[in-house]
Amino acid sequence: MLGLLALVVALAVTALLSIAVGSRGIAPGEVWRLLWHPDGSDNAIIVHDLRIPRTVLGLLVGSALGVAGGLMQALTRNPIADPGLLGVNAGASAAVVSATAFFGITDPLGYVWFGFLGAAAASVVVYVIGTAGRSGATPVRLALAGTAVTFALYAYVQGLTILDREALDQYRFWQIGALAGHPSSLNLQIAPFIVAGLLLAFALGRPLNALGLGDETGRALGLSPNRVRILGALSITLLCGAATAAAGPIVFIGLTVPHVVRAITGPDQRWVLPYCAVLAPVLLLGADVIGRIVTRPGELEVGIVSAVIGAPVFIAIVRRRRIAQL
Amino acid sequence: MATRRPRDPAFSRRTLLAGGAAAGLGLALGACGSDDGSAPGTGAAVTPAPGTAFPVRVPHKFGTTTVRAAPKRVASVGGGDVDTLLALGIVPLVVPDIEPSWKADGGGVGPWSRPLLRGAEPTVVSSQEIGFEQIAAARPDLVSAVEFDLKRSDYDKLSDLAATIAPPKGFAAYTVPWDTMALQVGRSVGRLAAARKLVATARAQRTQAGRDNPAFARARTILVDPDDAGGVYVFAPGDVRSRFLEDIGLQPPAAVDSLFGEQFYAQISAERLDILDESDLIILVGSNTGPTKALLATRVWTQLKNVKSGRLVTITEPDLAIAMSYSSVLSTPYQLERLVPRVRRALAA
Repeated sequence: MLGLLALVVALAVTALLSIAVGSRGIAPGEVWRLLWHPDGSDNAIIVHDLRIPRTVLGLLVGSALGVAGGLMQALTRNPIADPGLLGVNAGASAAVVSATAFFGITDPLGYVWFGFLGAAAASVVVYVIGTAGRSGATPVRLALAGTAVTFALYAYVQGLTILDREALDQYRFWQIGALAGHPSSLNLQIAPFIVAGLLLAFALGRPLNALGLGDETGRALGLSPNRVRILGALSITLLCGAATAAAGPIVFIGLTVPHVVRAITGPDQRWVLPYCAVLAPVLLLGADVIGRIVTRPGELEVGIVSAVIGAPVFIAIVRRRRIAQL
Repeated sequence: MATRRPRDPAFSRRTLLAGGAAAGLGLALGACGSDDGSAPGTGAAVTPAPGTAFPVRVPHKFGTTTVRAAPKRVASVGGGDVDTLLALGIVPLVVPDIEPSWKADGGGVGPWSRPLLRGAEPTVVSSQEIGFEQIAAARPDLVSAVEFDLKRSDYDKLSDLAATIAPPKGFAAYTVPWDTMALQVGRSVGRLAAARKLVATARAQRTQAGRDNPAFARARTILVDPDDAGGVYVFAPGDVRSRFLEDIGLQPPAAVDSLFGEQFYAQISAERLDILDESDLIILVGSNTGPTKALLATRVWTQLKNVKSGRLVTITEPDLAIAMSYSSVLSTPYQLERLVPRVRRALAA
């Protein structure tokens, strides 16, 4: 509990940093004043139009990816599962590219819905394929179905981007993953989905713990393993679909954060998931802040920075301690 | 895959391959024609000059290619090569796909080059990757790949099909100056003298536009292309866009000089758009629709001093945006005709 509080404080500090630091140097005192008294100056516009929406997006997307990653690893009992494993990212990618290629939609506020629908559709397809046949939805079957669907969808994306350069231009930036350059209304659009996904995930903490003991034990404890998995997949779709549609596929956060968290909390999902929700945005926003100052007056996308920072962290974790078994 | 490279403006189709086109032709005489009257370049183009003696040897980044006889069947892999070829009176059999709408109604070339096709319909192939099969099917005797990021292995493969001309030595991908490219293409088809004349004409047209507008010399001008993150790209002095502006007398502001390293472009983030107000005039070339629309709607953009006072030229028409991002002997009049009056108006604001 104390750890979680400390993380919340760290998150608050990171969020403030994200509002205070940017490629344009504005004194912290000035930022603080403008935060409460926007005076229409250039600096005020930068704080309110650029930094705050970007920070909010980072909080939403970070939490979503962290929790989705934790959920995915718990559901599939696969410690290196990332949130994209069930085809969600591929589905969102395919839909975003289709939106540009077939409907000429280049506005993020427009294609976010496509991304979301694509993510949902891909999950359903994966689930249908994964559960077909007698043995039902085992984690391995779901992961295999997800991998197959992912490959198929990326082939489609590749094909479309070769045929349609407008789609390629659009996709190129989106697929790197970035918090910058999105209108603030985007936050309002995705927030309800992410909040719903988070609440659902937190509610699944106890059933996931029971399921972690095996399907048999789970059933003995009065659970329906399939129902837990469906609800879990629903939560992942809400979280990843919204996050990915808005900011593009940012892979490393969802993969790494749950590992760090389990090293702190142990395997109890009732703690793992909330910790993920707080730690992931700390890392994502931290990476974003770094990306703003390393190539001034340009910026580096958060998808790149988080991978550059995340990879060594991940390797360090893997080397230092036994990966928590799931 | 998450490199910055593919996003760099030169890598996007508009910037990359479009070279230019030429066409300035008759139509283009309108605006600037009245200024410089002569515009003889294209005339010379239509009447093929009596070529140099073949074989000609063309040095390039992968060695030297010998063209044994005057090429009759030319496949163009390079974007700007198409314009130079057309200006020299040679209609390529294969052209790269630069803008989808050109493919639909223009034989795959820019509006400035269209008349020079004289009804021909070249095969339009992907500009992203080399269409070896389509090129082979055209049975070319020359493959022109000057304005193209040609790889050694692809050069070798193309050389098996026909004599292949690569970009000249000593330039990073897509940084060969437009005039150097024109001469490279001219040399390869044995019409170097004619190519020189075309280049001289295009240069003279540019210089004349500057002379006719003395106000340009006093206007520090910055040309930007929106990136996808709410900021913009700006272009180094040697870049084709910057050279065009300089040729017509528009100098860059000192504030941007320090931004460039090795690359021909630099990025300015949304927070630092204030740098654009260090100039007297902003020229915005919107190569990509989505980012351009998004940028124009932000307050960091609309609050810029230059934007508020109208000292801004916004180019969103794809054809002109492409013409700006590539330059050729034939696109020059097209650019001048459309850009110069707008710059004049913006500077009067």
